[in-house]
Amino acid sequence: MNDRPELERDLAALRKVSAKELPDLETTIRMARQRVPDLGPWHWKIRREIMALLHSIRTRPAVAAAVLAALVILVASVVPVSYQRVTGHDVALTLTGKGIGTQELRAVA
Amino acid sequence: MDSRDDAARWDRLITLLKPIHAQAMATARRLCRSVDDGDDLYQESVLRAYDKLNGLRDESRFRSWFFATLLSRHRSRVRRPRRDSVPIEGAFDRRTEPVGEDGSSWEEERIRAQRAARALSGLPPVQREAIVLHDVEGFSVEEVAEMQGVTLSAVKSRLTRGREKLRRFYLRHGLRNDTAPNPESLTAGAMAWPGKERSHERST
Repeated sequence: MNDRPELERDLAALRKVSAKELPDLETTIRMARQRVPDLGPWHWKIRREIMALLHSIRTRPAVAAAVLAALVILVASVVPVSYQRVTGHDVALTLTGKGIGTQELRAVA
Repeated sequence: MDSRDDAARWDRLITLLKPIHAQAMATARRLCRSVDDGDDLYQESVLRAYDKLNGLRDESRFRSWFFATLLSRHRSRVRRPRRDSVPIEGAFDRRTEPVGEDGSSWEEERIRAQRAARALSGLPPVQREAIVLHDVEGFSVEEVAEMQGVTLSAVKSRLTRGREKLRRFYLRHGLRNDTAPNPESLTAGAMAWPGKERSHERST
Protein backbone atom coordinates (compact mmCIF):
# COMPACT_ATOMS: atom_id res chain seq x y z
CA MET A 1 0.00 0.00 0.00
CA ASN A 2 2.75 2.41 0.98
CA ASP A 3 4.60 2.09 -2.32
CA ARG A 4 1.75 3.71 -4.20
CA PRO A 5 2.39 7.23 -5.50
CA GLU A 6 1.44 10.01 -3.15
CA LEU A 7 -1.18 11.40 -5.50
CA GLU A 8 -2.94 8.06 -5.73
CA ARG A 9 -2.93 7.66 -1.96
CA ASP A 10 -4.18 11.18 -1.44
CA LEU A 11 -7.03 10.64 -3.89
CA ALA A 12 -7.89 7.41 -2.11
CA ALA A 13 -7.94 9.30 1.19
CA LEU A 14 -10.15 11.98 -0.36
CA ARG A 15 -12.47 9.24 -1.62
CA LYS A 16 -12.69 7.75 1.86
CA VAL A 17 -12.99 10.98 3.84
CA SER A 18 -15.58 12.59 1.58
CA ALA A 19 -17.79 9.48 1.64
CA LYS A 20 -18.20 9.55 5.42
CA GLU A 21 -21.24 10.90 7.23
CA LEU A 22 -23.28 11.45 4.12
CA PRO A 23 -26.74 12.75 4.98
CA ASP A 24 -29.47 10.44 3.71
CA LEU A 25 -31.53 11.39 0.70
CA GLU A 26 -34.64 12.38 2.65
CA THR A 27 -32.65 14.78 4.83
CA THR A 28 -30.97 16.25 1.77
CA ILE A 29 -34.27 16.74 -0.03
CA ARG A 30 -35.81 18.34 3.03
CA MET A 31 -32.89 20.75 3.39
CA ALA A 32 -32.93 21.54 -0.32
CA ARG A 33 -36.64 22.32 -0.24
CA GLN A 34 -36.16 24.64 2.72
CA ARG A 35 -33.58 26.71 0.88
CA VAL A 36 -34.56 30.10 -0.34
CA PRO A 37 -34.30 29.86 -4.11
CA ASP A 38 -31.16 31.67 -5.14
CA LEU A 39 -32.72 33.01 -8.32
CA GLY A 40 -32.17 36.74 -7.99
CA PRO A 41 -34.02 39.26 -10.15
CA TRP A 42 -35.68 38.18 -13.38
CA HIS A 43 -32.94 39.58 -15.59
CA TRP A 44 -30.42 37.38 -13.79
CA LYS A 45 -32.51 34.37 -14.66
CA ILE A 46 -32.54 35.36 -18.32
CA ARG A 47 -28.81 35.96 -18.18
CA ARG A 48 -28.28 32.51 -16.67
CA GLU A 49 -30.36 30.90 -19.39
CA ILE A 50 -28.39 32.71 -22.10
CA MET A 51 -25.09 31.72 -20.50
CA ALA A 52 -26.25 28.09 -20.30
CA LEU A 53 -27.25 28.21 -23.96
CA LEU A 54 -23.92 29.73 -24.96
CA HIS A 55 -22.08 27.12 -22.94
CA SER A 56 -23.95 24.25 -24.53
CA ILE A 57 -23.29 25.71 -27.98
CA ARG A 58 -19.62 26.25 -27.20
CA THR A 59 -19.13 22.65 -26.12
CA ARG A 60 -20.78 21.28 -29.27
CA PRO A 61 -18.96 22.51 -32.41
CA ALA A 62 -21.44 20.88 -34.79
CA VAL A 63 -24.35 22.65 -33.12
CA ALA A 64 -22.39 25.90 -33.15
CA ALA A 65 -21.82 25.57 -36.92
CA ALA A 66 -25.50 24.81 -37.51
CA VAL A 67 -26.58 27.78 -35.39
CA LEU A 68 -24.17 30.06 -37.22
CA ALA A 69 -25.46 28.90 -40.61
CA ALA A 70 -29.04 29.42 -39.47
CA LEU A 71 -28.18 32.91 -38.25
CA VAL A 72 -26.56 33.81 -41.57
CA ILE A 73 -29.61 32.57 -43.48
CA LEU A 74 -31.90 34.45 -41.13
CA VAL A 75 -29.97 37.67 -41.47
CA ALA A 76 -29.74 37.29 -45.24
CA SER A 77 -33.47 36.75 -45.50
CA VAL A 78 -34.38 39.65 -43.23
CA VAL A 79 -31.96 42.40 -44.20
CA PRO A 80 -33.28 44.09 -47.38
CA VAL A 81 -30.75 44.23 -50.18
CA SER A 82 -31.81 45.89 -53.39
CA TYR A 83 -31.94 43.91 -56.62
CA GLN A 84 -29.57 46.33 -58.24
CA ARG A 85 -27.00 45.91 -55.44
CA VAL A 86 -27.08 42.18 -55.81
CA THR A 87 -27.17 41.88 -59.60
CA GLY A 88 -25.49 45.13 -60.59
CA HIS A 89 -26.72 47.53 -63.23
CA ASP A 90 -27.31 46.88 -66.89
CA VAL A 91 -25.35 49.43 -68.84
CA ALA A 92 -26.08 50.01 -72.51
CA LEU A 93 -23.65 52.04 -74.52
CA THR A 94 -24.60 53.41 -77.85
CA LEU A 95 -22.04 55.11 -80.04
CA THR A 96 -22.96 56.97 -83.10
CA GLY A 97 -20.84 58.69 -85.61
CA LYS A 98 -18.60 58.04 -88.51
CA GLY A 99 -15.37 56.22 -88.49
CA ILE A 100 -15.94 54.23 -85.29
CA GLY A 101 -14.11 50.98 -85.60
CA THR A 102 -13.01 48.22 -83.30
CA GLN A 103 -10.08 50.21 -82.01
CA GLU A 104 -12.25 53.14 -80.94
CA LEU A 105 -14.85 50.86 -79.34
CA ARG A 106 -12.19 49.11 -77.32
CA ALA A 107 -10.81 52.43 -76.13
CA VAL A 108 -14.25 53.60 -74.96
CA ALA A 109 -15.05 50.30 -73.23
CA MET B 1 -47.76 24.62 -10.28
CA ASP B 2 -50.36 22.33 -8.80
CA SER B 3 -49.29 20.92 -5.44
CA ARG B 4 -50.14 17.36 -6.50
CA ASP B 5 -47.90 17.70 -9.54
CA ASP B 6 -45.28 19.17 -7.27
CA ALA B 7 -45.42 16.22 -4.88
CA ALA B 8 -45.44 13.73 -7.75
CA ARG B 9 -42.38 15.35 -9.25
CA TRP B 10 -40.53 15.20 -5.92
CA ASP B 11 -41.51 11.55 -5.57
CA ARG B 12 -40.24 10.80 -9.04
CA LEU B 13 -36.96 12.60 -8.32
CA ILE B 14 -36.47 10.77 -5.02
CA THR B 15 -37.10 7.42 -6.69
CA LEU B 16 -34.57 8.19 -9.40
CA LEU B 17 -32.01 9.71 -7.05
CA LYS B 18 -32.04 6.96 -4.44
CA PRO B 19 -29.66 4.57 -6.22
CA ILE B 20 -27.09 7.25 -6.98
CA HIS B 21 -27.50 9.53 -3.97
CA ALA B 22 -24.39 8.46 -2.06
CA GLN B 23 -22.12 8.53 -5.08
CA ALA B 24 -23.44 11.85 -6.37
CA MET B 25 -23.16 13.54 -3.00
CA ALA B 26 -19.64 12.24 -2.45
CA THR B 27 -18.71 13.46 -5.94
CA ALA B 28 -20.06 16.91 -5.10
CA ARG B 29 -17.85 16.98 -2.01
CA ARG B 30 -14.83 15.88 -4.03
CA LEU B 31 -15.36 18.62 -6.58
CA CYS B 32 -15.48 21.28 -3.90
CA ARG B 33 -13.04 22.65 -1.41
CA SER B 34 -14.92 21.37 1.61
CA VAL B 35 -17.63 19.02 2.80
CA ASP B 36 -20.03 21.91 3.44
CA ASP B 37 -19.41 23.36 -0.01
CA GLY B 38 -20.01 19.96 -1.54
CA ASP B 39 -23.26 19.44 0.37
CA ASP B 40 -24.39 22.88 -0.73
CA LEU B 41 -23.56 22.08 -4.36
CA TYR B 42 -25.46 18.81 -4.13
CA GLN B 43 -28.57 20.52 -2.74
CA GLU B 44 -28.42 23.10 -5.53
CA SER B 45 -28.14 20.29 -8.06
CA VAL B 46 -31.15 18.51 -6.58
CA LEU B 47 -33.21 21.70 -6.87
CA ARG B 48 -32.04 22.22 -10.43
CA ALA B 49 -32.82 18.60 -11.30
CA TYR B 50 -36.29 19.08 -9.85
CA ASP B 51 -36.82 22.15 -12.06
CA LYS B 52 -35.73 20.29 -15.20
CA LEU B 53 -37.18 16.89 -14.40
CA ASN B 54 -40.10 17.19 -16.78
CA GLY B 55 -37.58 17.49 -19.62
CA LEU B 56 -36.09 14.08 -18.81
CA ARG B 57 -37.54 11.59 -21.28
CA ASP B 58 -35.36 8.53 -20.84
CA GLU B 59 -35.14 7.61 -17.16
CA SER B 60 -32.49 4.98 -17.85
CA ARG B 61 -30.13 7.89 -18.53
CA PHE B 62 -30.93 9.63 -15.27
CA ARG B 63 -27.51 9.04 -13.74
CA SER B 64 -25.55 10.79 -16.47
CA TRP B 65 -28.29 13.43 -16.72
CA PHE B 66 -28.05 14.20 -13.02
CA PHE B 67 -24.26 14.24 -13.04
CA ALA B 68 -24.37 16.64 -15.99
CA THR B 69 -26.62 18.87 -13.89
CA LEU B 70 -24.20 18.58 -11.00
CA LEU B 71 -21.29 19.60 -13.21
CA SER B 72 -23.27 22.50 -14.60
CA ARG B 73 -24.03 23.78 -11.09
CA HIS B 74 -20.40 23.25 -10.15
CA ARG B 75 -19.22 25.50 -12.99
CA SER B 76 -21.81 28.12 -12.14
CA ARG B 77 -20.56 28.19 -8.58
CA VAL B 78 -16.96 28.47 -9.72
CA ARG B 79 -17.87 31.50 -11.85
CA ARG B 80 -19.87 33.07 -9.06
CA PRO B 81 -17.90 35.25 -6.62
CA ARG B 82 -17.81 33.44 -3.29
CA ARG B 83 -18.86 35.19 -0.11
CA ASP B 84 -18.48 32.24 2.21
CA SER B 85 -15.48 30.36 0.95
CA VAL B 86 -14.30 27.73 3.41
CA PRO B 87 -10.54 27.56 3.83
CA ILE B 88 -9.09 24.21 2.90
CA GLU B 89 -7.36 23.95 6.28
CA GLY B 90 -10.74 23.24 7.85
CA ALA B 91 -12.24 21.41 4.93
CA PHE B 92 -12.40 17.95 6.44
CA ASP B 93 -12.27 18.66 10.14
CA ARG B 94 -15.68 17.25 10.93
CA ARG B 95 -14.55 13.82 11.91
CA THR B 96 -12.61 13.44 15.11
CA GLU B 97 -12.12 9.73 15.70
CA PRO B 98 -8.44 8.93 15.91
CA VAL B 99 -8.27 5.74 13.84
CA GLY B 100 -9.70 4.98 10.40
CA GLU B 101 -11.58 1.86 9.43
CA ASP B 102 -8.49 0.14 8.02
CA GLY B 103 -6.35 1.01 11.01
CA SER B 104 -4.73 4.02 9.43
CA SER B 105 -4.58 7.20 11.39
CA TRP B 106 -7.56 9.42 10.80
CA GLU B 107 -5.30 12.43 11.01
CA GLU B 108 -3.19 11.11 8.16
CA GLU B 109 -6.28 10.41 6.08
CA ARG B 110 -7.58 13.89 6.77
CA ILE B 111 -4.31 15.52 5.85
CA ARG B 112 -4.07 13.49 2.66
CA ALA B 113 -7.65 14.34 1.69
CA GLN B 114 -6.96 17.98 2.42
CA ARG B 115 -3.88 17.88 0.24
CA ALA B 116 -5.75 16.21 -2.61
CA ALA B 117 -8.53 18.79 -2.31
CA ARG B 118 -5.99 21.58 -2.43
CA ALA B 119 -4.24 20.09 -5.46
CA LEU B 120 -7.57 19.61 -7.25
CA SER B 121 -8.76 23.10 -6.40
CA GLY B 122 -5.91 24.53 -8.46
CA LEU B 123 -7.09 22.82 -11.64
CA PRO B 124 -9.49 24.39 -14.11
CA PRO B 125 -13.02 23.17 -13.30
CA VAL B 126 -13.37 20.94 -16.36
CA GLN B 127 -10.08 19.18 -15.66
CA ARG B 128 -10.99 18.79 -12.00
CA GLU B 129 -14.30 17.25 -12.99
CA ALA B 130 -12.64 14.84 -15.40
CA ILE B 131 -10.10 13.73 -12.79
CA VAL B 132 -12.71 13.32 -10.04
CA LEU B 133 -15.19 11.47 -12.23
CA HIS B 134 -12.66 9.19 -13.91
CA ASP B 135 -9.79 8.73 -11.49
CA VAL B 136 -11.70 8.97 -8.21
CA GLU B 137 -15.22 7.82 -9.05
CA GLY B 138 -14.17 5.28 -11.65
CA PHE B 139 -16.47 6.39 -14.46
CA SER B 140 -15.35 5.43 -17.95
CA VAL B 141 -14.11 8.04 -20.40
CA GLU B 142 -17.32 7.56 -22.40
CA GLU B 143 -19.46 8.24 -19.34
CA VAL B 144 -17.43 11.32 -18.43
CA ALA B 145 -17.76 12.58 -22.01
CA GLU B 146 -21.53 12.21 -21.81
CA MET B 147 -21.70 13.98 -18.46
CA GLN B 148 -19.45 16.82 -19.57
CA GLY B 149 -21.12 17.05 -22.97
CA VAL B 150 -17.87 16.83 -24.91
CA THR B 151 -16.05 14.37 -27.15
CA LEU B 152 -13.93 11.45 -25.95
CA SER B 153 -10.75 13.15 -27.11
CA ALA B 154 -11.66 16.26 -25.13
CA VAL B 155 -12.03 14.19 -21.97
CA LYS B 156 -8.75 12.40 -22.61
CA SER B 157 -7.05 15.72 -23.12
CA ARG B 158 -8.52 17.09 -19.89
CA LEU B 159 -7.38 14.01 -18.00
CA THR B 160 -3.87 14.23 -19.40
CA ARG B 161 -3.52 17.92 -18.66
CA GLY B 162 -5.07 17.63 -15.25
CA ARG B 163 -2.85 14.73 -14.22
CA GLU B 164 0.20 16.57 -15.48
CA LYS B 165 -0.70 19.62 -13.38
CA LEU B 166 -1.29 17.45 -10.34
CA ARG B 167 2.03 15.70 -10.91
CA ARG B 168 3.78 19.06 -11.10
CA PHE B 169 2.02 20.17 -7.93
CA TYR B 170 3.30 17.12 -6.09
CA LEU B 171 6.79 17.42 -7.51
CA ARG B 172 6.89 21.07 -6.49
CA HIS B 173 6.26 19.98 -2.94
CA GLY B 174 8.84 17.21 -3.10
CA LEU B 175 6.30 14.39 -3.12
CA ARG B 176 6.75 11.48 -5.46
CA ASN B 177 6.69 7.96 -4.01
CA ASP B 178 7.41 8.78 -0.43
CA THR B 179 5.88 6.77 2.34
CA ALA B 180 4.05 8.48 5.17
CA PRO B 181 3.45 12.19 4.73
CA ASN B 182 5.27 14.61 6.92
CA PRO B 183 2.52 16.56 8.71
CA GLU B 184 4.64 19.70 8.81
CA SER B 185 5.11 19.66 5.06
CA LEU B 186 1.41 19.07 4.52
CA THR B 187 -0.01 22.08 6.27
CA ALA B 188 -2.28 24.07 4.04
CA GLY B 189 0.01 27.06 3.92
CA ALA B 190 2.88 24.95 2.70
CA MET B 191 0.75 23.33 0.02
CA ALA B 192 -0.50 26.36 -1.81
CA TRP B 193 -0.59 26.58 -5.57
CA PRO B 194 1.72 29.32 -6.76
CA GLY B 195 0.10 32.56 -7.80
CA LYS B 196 -3.62 33.15 -7.85
CA GLU B 197 -5.60 30.00 -7.28
CA ARG B 198 -8.73 31.53 -8.73
CA SER B 199 -6.99 32.37 -11.98
CA HIS B 200 -7.27 28.70 -12.95
CA GLU B 201 -10.96 28.64 -12.46
CA ARG B 202 -12.06 30.03 -15.81
CA SER B 203 -9.67 28.43 -18.22
CA THR B 204 -10.21 25.05 -19.81
